[in-house]
Amino acid sequence: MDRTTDAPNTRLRPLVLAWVALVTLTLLSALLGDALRGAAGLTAIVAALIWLKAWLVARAFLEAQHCHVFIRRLVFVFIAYAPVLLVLTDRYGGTFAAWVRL
Amino acid sequence: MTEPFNGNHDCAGAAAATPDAGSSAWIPGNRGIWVGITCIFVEFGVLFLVYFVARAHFPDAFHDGAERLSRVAGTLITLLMVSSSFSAAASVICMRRDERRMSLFWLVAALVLACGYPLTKYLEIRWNLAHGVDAQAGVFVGAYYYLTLNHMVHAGWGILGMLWVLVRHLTGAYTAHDHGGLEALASYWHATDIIWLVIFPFFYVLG
Repeated sequence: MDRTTDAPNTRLRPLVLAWVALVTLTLLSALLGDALRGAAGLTAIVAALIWLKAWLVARAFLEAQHCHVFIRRLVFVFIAYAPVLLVLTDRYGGTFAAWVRL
Repeated sequence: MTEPFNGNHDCAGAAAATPDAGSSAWIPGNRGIWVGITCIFVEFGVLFLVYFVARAHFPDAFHDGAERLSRVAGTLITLLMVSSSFSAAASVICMRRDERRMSLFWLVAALVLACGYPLTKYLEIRWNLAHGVDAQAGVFVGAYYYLTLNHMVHAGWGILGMLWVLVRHLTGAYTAHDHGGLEALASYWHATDIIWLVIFPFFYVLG
């Protein structure tokens, strides 16, 4: 029975593919930290990798796309939250620091 | 009171673990676990905000910070978390297919991999202390300890939950049509995994 469209998954293959992608992206992240240390685009690349890895877990493992609308929104907003703030802090860190003086 | 890993008490429908195609009301596990997951997302949302405030105020400390930590330990914890999360998801899939023995196998695999996390963290902290990375080592290290140790506490609850679900699974509490407790545990563990996937680059990758 093919349940790949609307209903939760009953096949292991999508999980295995997601796991291979997650392992690959994790090792890539670790290598990027060394290879691009101090480079201008590193933060944006890391933010994209955070979002992509969290999205893979949310889609393949948690199956958030099939869930109640509240859960779906909660998960997809949360996985976008940190990458967006990371890029904004990198770009407007000085302004942000001025807003929230310690 | 709903016990999150016990069953499917609060699910939207009796067969909520395997809902009808096209259903938009599916709640994996039960409502209780999703109240908890929502609270944890809010909690870490606030903690991440504190991290960004510190990062904005002390960019130099955060620029040099990753060099002071063991990237091997951070990468290993990440690999353990994604592999354990994968195994928990596989356990649910096998239960949906009524393959109880395979479901148990994957749940044990998830538990063993999950236990590698506190072990690795223990070795990492020993390495840290030997290299002067203690609570007095500045704002970056302070943020690193409060976020990573807080996450490990949540992972500890997940490991205890896994043990409980494993006991229930071994006693035949779950079926192909009613395995809400297993699904609730897996949902909690995936949420914990997602949070770690954010924390890992914050401290071990970005420089």
